[in-house]
Amino acid sequence: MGEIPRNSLRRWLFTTNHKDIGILYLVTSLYFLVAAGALALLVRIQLTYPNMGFLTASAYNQAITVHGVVMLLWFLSPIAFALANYIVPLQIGARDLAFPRLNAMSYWLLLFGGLIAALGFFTPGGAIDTGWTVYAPLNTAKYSPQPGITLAGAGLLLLMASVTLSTVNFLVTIFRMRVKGLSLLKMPMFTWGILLTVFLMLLAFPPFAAAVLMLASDRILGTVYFLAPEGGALLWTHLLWFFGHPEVYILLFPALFALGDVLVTFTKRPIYGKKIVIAAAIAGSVLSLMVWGHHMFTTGINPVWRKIMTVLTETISIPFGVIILAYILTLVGGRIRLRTPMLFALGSIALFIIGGITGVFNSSVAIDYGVRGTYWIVGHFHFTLVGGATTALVAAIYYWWPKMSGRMFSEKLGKLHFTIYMIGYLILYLPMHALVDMPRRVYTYPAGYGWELNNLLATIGAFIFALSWPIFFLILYKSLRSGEPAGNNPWGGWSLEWLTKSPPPPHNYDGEPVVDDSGTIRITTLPTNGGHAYHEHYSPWPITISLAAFLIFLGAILFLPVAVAGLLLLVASVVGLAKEGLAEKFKIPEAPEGARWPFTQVEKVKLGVWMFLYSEAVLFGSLIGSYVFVRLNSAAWPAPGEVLSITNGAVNTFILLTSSLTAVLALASVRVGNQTGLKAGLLATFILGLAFLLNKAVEWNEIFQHGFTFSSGLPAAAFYITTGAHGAHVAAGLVVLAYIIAKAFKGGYTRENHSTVEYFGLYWHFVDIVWVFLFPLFYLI
Amino acid sequence: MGLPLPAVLPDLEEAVDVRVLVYVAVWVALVVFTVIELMLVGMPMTPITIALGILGLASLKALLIALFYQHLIGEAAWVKIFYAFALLTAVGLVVGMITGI
Ligand code: HEM
Ligand SMILES: [Cu+2]
Repeated sequence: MGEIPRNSLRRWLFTTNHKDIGILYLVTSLYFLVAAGALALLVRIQLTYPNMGFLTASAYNQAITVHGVVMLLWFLSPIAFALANYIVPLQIGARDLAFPRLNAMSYWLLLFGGLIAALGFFTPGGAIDTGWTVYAPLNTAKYSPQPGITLAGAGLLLLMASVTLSTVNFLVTIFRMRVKGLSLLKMPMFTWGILLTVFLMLLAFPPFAAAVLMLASDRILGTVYFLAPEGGALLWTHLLWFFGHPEVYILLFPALFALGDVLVTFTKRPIYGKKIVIAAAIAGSVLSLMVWGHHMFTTGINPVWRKIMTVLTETISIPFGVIILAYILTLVGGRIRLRTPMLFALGSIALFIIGGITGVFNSSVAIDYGVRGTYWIVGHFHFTLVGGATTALVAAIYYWWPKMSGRMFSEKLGKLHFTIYMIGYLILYLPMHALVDMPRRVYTYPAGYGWELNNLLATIGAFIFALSWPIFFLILYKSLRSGEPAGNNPWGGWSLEWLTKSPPPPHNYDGEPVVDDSGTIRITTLPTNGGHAYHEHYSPWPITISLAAFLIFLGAILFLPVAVAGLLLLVASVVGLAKEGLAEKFKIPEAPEGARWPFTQVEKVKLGVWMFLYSEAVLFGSLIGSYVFVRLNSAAWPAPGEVLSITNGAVNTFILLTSSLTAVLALASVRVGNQTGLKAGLLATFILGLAFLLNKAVEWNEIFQHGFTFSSGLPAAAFYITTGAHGAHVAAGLVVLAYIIAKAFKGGYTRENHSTVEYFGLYWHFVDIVWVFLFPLFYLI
Repeated sequence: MGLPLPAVLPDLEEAVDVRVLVYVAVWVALVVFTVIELMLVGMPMTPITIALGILGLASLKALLIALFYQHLIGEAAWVKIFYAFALLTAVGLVVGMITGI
C-alpha cells in the first residue's frame, strides 16, 4: 500500500512511520492536557472560597480523579513519547523504530484506552471517582458499584498493553539500531533519558498491570482479592506504589534528559560530567524500585521496614542532586543564550530543585505523619511533575519544533508565554505549601482555619497558568502558518537530528549518518548501509486490533453484543496481520554495520522477545507475590488435595513439560532442514497445549460445581486469577503457533531461515517455567 | 563451493544428535523432579520444610528449562544479566510485600 497520498486521512490512520506517530502522540497528549486541565479549573473554582456549591461532592471526586489519572498517564507520559517517537530514531540515525507496526499499535491502544476511560462520564454514577491512587477497598464493586471504575480499569489495561509494546520497541531500537560509531556513551542525553525511562517502565508497570487485572476480575467476575481484609488495602498499596514511585521517574527522565540537550545547545558546551550524570541516573533508577514504602509510612507497616525505606528514600535524593549539580555546572561558564527553549529549561531546573527539597522532608517518617494527605503533598508533587517535568517538556517542544515543522516561532511571543506561565505557576502552587494542615481530596472546606487566602490565590494562579496554554498553541499555530523557514540547524545543535532537513524526509537521512572516533557526526553520501532501502509502510491492522480490544472491553462491561463485534474484528485483523507476515511485507533487514553493544550478537526480534519476557517475569512475579501475601495473611487455607486434584495438576504439568520438549525438537529438526520433524514437533506442541487447556476447562468446571466459585474466598481468587492469566498465555501462544504451523506447511522455514520457530520457543518455555512454579504453589503446598 | 554435500552433513547431524540427547535428558530430569515433588507431599516433615523442598526443586526445573530449552546457556551475557535483574525485581517486590506485614 505504498501509494497513499501524504495528506490523506488514510495516511494518518494507517501510518507506521515514527515521525507521523510522534505527531499523533503530540496532538493526542495535548488534547488530554486540555481536557484534564479543564477539570482542574473546575476543581479550583470549587475551592476558591469555603463552602462553595459549584460542584457536588461526587462531581468533585470525578473531576479530581480523572484529572490526576489523565495528566499522569495520558498527558505527561504520552507527550514524552511524542518527542521520543519523533526524535530518538533521528538522534541515533535510524530509519524508523525496530517494529513500526507495533509502534502504531502502541499509539492506538493509548488513544482507545483514554476513550474507554472517558466514557465513564456518560454512564450512571459517572467516571472514576476514587482518587488517582484507586485505593482498595473503595475500588471494589461493593463500595463503588458504578461502571465508570470498571471502564477506567479497562482503559488502564489498554494503556499498559500500549506501554509494554512501546518499551520493548524503544529498548530494541536504542540497543540495536544506532549508526556506526554511536556508542551508548556518545548518545545524546534525550535518547539516554528515553532508554532509562523505558527500562523502568518495563519493570514497574507489570505490578500495576497485575493489580488492575485483579481489580477487573474482582469487579467483573466477583473474586475478592481487594474486598477481603487479608488482601485489601495493603495489597493494593504495595502493588500500586511499587509502580507509583518508579512512575515519577518515568515521568521525569524524558524531561530531565531533554533539558540536557537544550542546555548543551544553548550553553555551547557539553554536559558537565556526562558519564557521572548517566551513572547517577542509573543508580536512581535502580533505587527507585526499592523505595515504594515511603508512600506507605502511615499504613501501619513494620517499623523496621519503614526505617529502611526512609534511608533508601533519602539516598535517592543524592543521584538527583548530582544531576542537577552537573546541570548547574554546565551553565556556569557556558555561553548562555536566553532563547525561549532555554528560558523554560532554566525555569524547570529552578522549580524542580524546590520540589526535590520538599520531597526530602516527606521522606522523614515523623514529618510525613503530619503532612500526609495535605496540600503540602499536592504542592510537592506539582513542583516536580508540573514545575520540573512539564516545564522541561515545553522547553523540549520549543527546542525541536523547528525540526518537526520546518519553521521558527516568534521569540517575542515565546518570552511572553514564559512570563505568564511562570507567574501563573507560582501563584497557583506556592500557596499550597502553606496549606500544610488542609486535607486534600475533600470537595470543600470550612471557613476560619486560615485557609481562605491561599485557596483564593491558588485559584487566581490557576487561571493565569491556564491562560498561558492558549498562548503556547497560538505560537505554534502561527509558526506553522507563517513562521520563518528553520533550515537544518537553527539553534546550532550538536546531535544527529540537526544534520538532516527540517522536517526530515520519510527515510530521515539522504545518505548515511556516521559518528567517528572523536565523536564528530556527519552524513556520508555513500549509501553503504542500504540508506535508500527505506520505503513507506502502511498497515491497517494496528488500528483495527486496538479498536477490537476497545470493543471487547466495552462489550464485556456495558453491552455484550459489542464484544462479539470486537471479537470478530480481532480475528479478522489477526488473520490480516498474519497474511502480512506470511508475505514478509514488513521485513526490514538490519544494516550490516552499526553500534550494537551490549547486544551485538542478539538479533533484534529475539531481543524484543527477551525484553517482553522480562516484563512478563515481573507480571507473574506480582501475581505470585499477591498470592503469597494473602496466603500468609490468612488464618486458614485449603490443604493440598482438598480442593484441587493433585493428579489433575500433575497431569497438566507433564503435558506442558512435554510440549516444551516437542517445541525444542521442532527447532532441532529445522536446524538440519528436517521438514517432517519440524511439522511433527510443532503439531505435537499444539496438541499438547490444547490438551492442557481442555484439562483445565474440565478441572475448573468440576471445582466450580463443588462450590469453589470465583467469589468463594481468597483461595479461589488467587487460584483463578493466577492460573487464568497463565492459561491466557498458553492460549495466546497457541494462536501464534497456529500461524507458525501454517507457515511451516507452506515450507516457510528452512535450515537457514527459521528464527520465528526459535523465538516462539523462548515464549513457550517461559510459559512452561511459570507453570513449573504455579503447580507446586497451588497444588502441592 | 563445489564441495560434495555429504562431506558437510555428517558432523552437522552428529551435532544435532548430541543436542537432541540433551533435550531429552533435560525432559527426563524435569519429569523425575516433578515425581520427587509429588512424593514430598505428605512426608512426615514440617510444612515449611516440604514447601522449601518443593520450591527448590521447582527452581531447579525452571533453571533447566531456561538454560537448555531457552538456550540461555549460550546466550549473550547481557541477556542473562537483564533476566537476572528482572527476576530480582520480582523477588524484591515479593519479599518487600511479605516482610512489610
Ligand atoms: C528528591 C527526591 C524526592 C523525594 C525524597 C520524594 C519523596 C516523596 C515522599 C516521601 C512522598 C510521600 C508523601 C506522602 O504521600 O505522604 C512523595 C510523594 C509524591 N512525590 Fe515525591 N519525592 C521526590 C521527588 C519526586 C519527583 C521527582 C516526583 C515526580 C517527578 C515526585 C512525585 C511525587 C508524587 C506524585 C507524590 C504524591 C503521590 C500521592 O500521594 O498522590 N517526587 N514524594
Ligand atoms: Cu515516591
